[in-house]
Amino acid sequence: MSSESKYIRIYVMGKDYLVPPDLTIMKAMEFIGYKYIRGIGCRGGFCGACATVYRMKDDYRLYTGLACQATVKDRMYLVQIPFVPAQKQHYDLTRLKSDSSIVMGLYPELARCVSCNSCTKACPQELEVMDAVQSILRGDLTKTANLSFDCIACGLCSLRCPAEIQHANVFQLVRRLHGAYELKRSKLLEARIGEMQEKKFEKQLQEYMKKTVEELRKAYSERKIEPEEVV
Amino acid sequence: MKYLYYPGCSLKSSAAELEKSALAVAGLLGIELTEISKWYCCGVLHGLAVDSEVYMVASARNLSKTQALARELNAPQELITICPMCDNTLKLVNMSLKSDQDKRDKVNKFMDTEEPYKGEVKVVHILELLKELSKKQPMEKYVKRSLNGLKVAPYYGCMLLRPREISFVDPNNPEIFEMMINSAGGTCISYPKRDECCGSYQTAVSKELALRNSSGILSSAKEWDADLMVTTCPLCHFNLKLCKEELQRRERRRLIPVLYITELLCYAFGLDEALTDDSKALINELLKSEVYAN
Repeated sequence: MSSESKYIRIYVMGKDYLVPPDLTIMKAMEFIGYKYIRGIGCRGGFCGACATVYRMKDDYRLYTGLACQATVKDRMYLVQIPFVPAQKQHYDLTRLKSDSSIVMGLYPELARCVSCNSCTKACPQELEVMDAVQSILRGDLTKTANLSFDCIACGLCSLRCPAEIQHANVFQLVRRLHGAYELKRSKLLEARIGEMQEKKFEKQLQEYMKKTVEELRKAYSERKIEPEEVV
Repeated sequence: MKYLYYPGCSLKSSAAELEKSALAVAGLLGIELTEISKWYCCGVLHGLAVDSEVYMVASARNLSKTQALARELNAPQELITICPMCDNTLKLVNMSLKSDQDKRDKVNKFMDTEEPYKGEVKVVHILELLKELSKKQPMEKYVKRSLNGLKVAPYYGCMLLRPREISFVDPNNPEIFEMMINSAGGTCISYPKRDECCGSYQTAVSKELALRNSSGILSSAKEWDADLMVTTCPLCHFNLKLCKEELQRRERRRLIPVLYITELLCYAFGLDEALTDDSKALINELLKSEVYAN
């Protein structure tokens, strides 16, 4: 067995390399010798910073993924997307209402959706992105908020969208409207905020500030966890 | 009778009263409408002004879903619409996909994840269905509260009439609103502008143009003695209502009110639960005038 057979061949920005199989794209890039200064974040699939596009040999499809999650495959042609530009509208949430006309007004390009489904195919989180856009068009912001809840704002859908929709920013606005105007208020949270404003915990906090790291560790491991609020 | 039904975006937002009233009338006449699961915006007619298959994908996706769902539920390969804009768009795309196999293949390949559309679904507007049913069972039979000769102007707009190839009525003499108004005990007013354009999407870019068109239509109906106008298109309804409110504000002109035809039918058929309080109050108020009092 030649030493080469333990490796697979990948192409990074057109240049070929031999890398061990089963590595994530990110680890493979680092194996080759690349050092990430942009397009990297949590390394755990949560932050959306490491968007990647790639093709496979003899396959017309353009695939997408997160470099920290997707593993390298033989004959993979890949490139990292360091940043996805998107325009973010400025708004004062307290002056808005939970209505799709508000969202359409701030991001009118939503009306250009042709239902091509490119966004859904591109999503590394496997969200129903097109359905989330379409729900805005028909005025169901609650559905959009729920469908887009796991969006990590990697921007891959926006890169593929022929209508040039800036999904992550649109969905963020929808979730904010939903959170501010639709969701039930947590009574316990409001009560606790009230207590904090009245400086109920000030004395306790000052005591903790004087403790050593060891004492803090002990206090943390012995803390009581309050039961969750039943809604 | 069980049919698959496509609502479209307007019916789920600005034209909720149209959906509610249309479903109530259909239900009374024995039509069971099942909303197709996971439908998408039809693509809207103006998209088709550009000769590009990509604007057909939205409608094609809905037609493909219907094809699969109809088979699964053992329902007819038909898709019922209520919004005339969706109806027109779906019909135009359907006509194109049915007649041009190359185009159909191209769109099917582009959709990629959906089951390929075979071009066999028939798009049917709800009024088309009601018209067929009324041939067997006249609508008069369902009237519980006569309109006492209320003078109603039917407004067709463009989407139900043009282009001729997809219209289910004679574009020059459509008669369908007339049949419904007469059945409900109203008096149908003939006036010259019943099929002129309300201004359509120009309302978004040139409001004054839309107001000019709509005020021409509303004034024409009033000149010919109508007390109420009925339509079935959410966009016409929007423009006409906007026009009435704007001219009232600017010039203190009093134009006639506008309702959906199915709201008028709900009133006549006693389907009060499907009417908004405002719509019901409006018809009650009109019928109170001396002209209609028995």
